[in-house]
Parts: sequence; C-alpha cells; structure tokens
Amino acid sequence: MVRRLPIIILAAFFLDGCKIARDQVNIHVRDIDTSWIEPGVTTRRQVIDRIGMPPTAKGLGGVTADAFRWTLYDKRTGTLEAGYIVTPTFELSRAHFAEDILVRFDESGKVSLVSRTVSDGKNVRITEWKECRK
Amino acid sequence: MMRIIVLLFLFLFAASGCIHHRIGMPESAASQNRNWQTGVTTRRDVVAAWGNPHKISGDVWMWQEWISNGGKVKASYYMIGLTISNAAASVREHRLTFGEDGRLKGWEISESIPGGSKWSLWPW
Repeated sequence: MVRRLPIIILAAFFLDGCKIARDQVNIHVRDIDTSWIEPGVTTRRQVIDRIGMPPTAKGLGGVTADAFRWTLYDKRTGTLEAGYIVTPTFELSRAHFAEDILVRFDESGKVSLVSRTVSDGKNVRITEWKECRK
Repeated sequence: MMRIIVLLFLFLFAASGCIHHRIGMPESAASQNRNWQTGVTTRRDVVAAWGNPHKISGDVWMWQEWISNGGKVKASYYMIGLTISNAAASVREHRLTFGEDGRLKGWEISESIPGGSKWSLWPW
C-alpha cells in the first residue's frame, strides 16, 4: 500500500485537471419530420408553417436567399490540465454535424432539394434525398 | 530583472500544453482519395461521402475541413491568472461545381493557414 501511495497521489493530481465534455447544439433537429416535403410542390411558406425557421445558435444552421438549414452540432472535448501555478493545457476536440437538414428553394419559392444526412464523426449516411430537377 | 523575465518566458514555453481541434467533414471521409469524375459524379454521390455542403453559392457547393493546432498555458496565483495561447489553423476548402443536370462540372481545392495568438488576464 505504501508503494502504491505515490501512484494514487499522482493519479488524483492528474484526474483533478481531467475534463471530458460533450456539447450538442440544436438537439431538436433529430425530431424534425421532413418526410412530408415534396420537391416542386411544397412552398417556403409551408415549410415555415410546419417546421419554423432554422435556428442560428453559434452560427450553425440558418437562412440564405435560397436555402434553409438545420444542424445538430456535436462536439466532444477531452482536456487535461496538469500543474500547479503554471498549468499547461492539453486539449483534443472533434466537432461534426451529427444531423444536418438542407432544404433548397427555386426562384418561385418551391422546394427544389431536401437532403438529410447523419454522421457519427467518422462516416456519413444520407437518410433522405429528394430532388426536383427542371 | 530581465533574466527573470526571460526565465519565466522559457518556463512558460516549456510547460506549454498542446491543443488540437477539428471541425468539418469527418476525418475518415476527407482522407479518402475521391476520384470525382466530371459528367458522372452527382451531387448525391458527394453528399453520401462528405455530408451536406457547408456552404452553397449557386451551383458551387463547398465543403470545409478546419484543423487547429496550438499551445496553451495558464499561470495562476491566488486571485489572478494569465492565459497564453497560440494556434495555427488550417482550412481546406473543396469547391465543387455542378451543372443543371446535377452532375459534376469541375472542382478545386484551396488551403489557407490563418494563425494567431491571444492572451487574457482573468480573476481566478
């Protein structure tokens, strides 16, 4: 036990400055239903009426002249701050769009594209793709 | 006095930690060598590999990889603290242009390396 004491003290010292965090923004994006949208038929007004305007938290998602975008942003961070008085910080983070909905409109205000993707941070998968070409 | 300042600076430099941040398309997707073919590859093919584009400007769809590496150190004593950090970011942008038929017309990759350092003094 006496031999292990320095290791335990050292581990406690490092664990004290150890932090693991996960930051998810716009988590409600998972619950948005886009299956009813029909490219070439559904209008911008109908999209706003049923889903609302995209949020722009932290500059994510948003509205442009011809597109609406809803983004679920997922960030994982690991931090180690070891030291006393002077504390070097070791930090590693990965951020990705866990779920992303892109709705584009044509000049007449009708939906021209619905693209929905999910990502686990390594791979991307399309869960919905509806396109209306002229 | 000057010697103390130099020693302090060297100590801070030596004790500096390291930071790595990554935002944008998944690393595994970005690292794969995609052989997009003009006239063949569709928008859907690219979205299936990289996810939705981060920006759209007309028929130009853009995907970004943003990687930041740097160092950060905090010095604190009693009620005050000092944080010094320095980071170099690398932004790689893939711009793909599609035709009206939804097929690829061309693409380009650009890379910029903005950098910067900052410091802050804060109550502990």
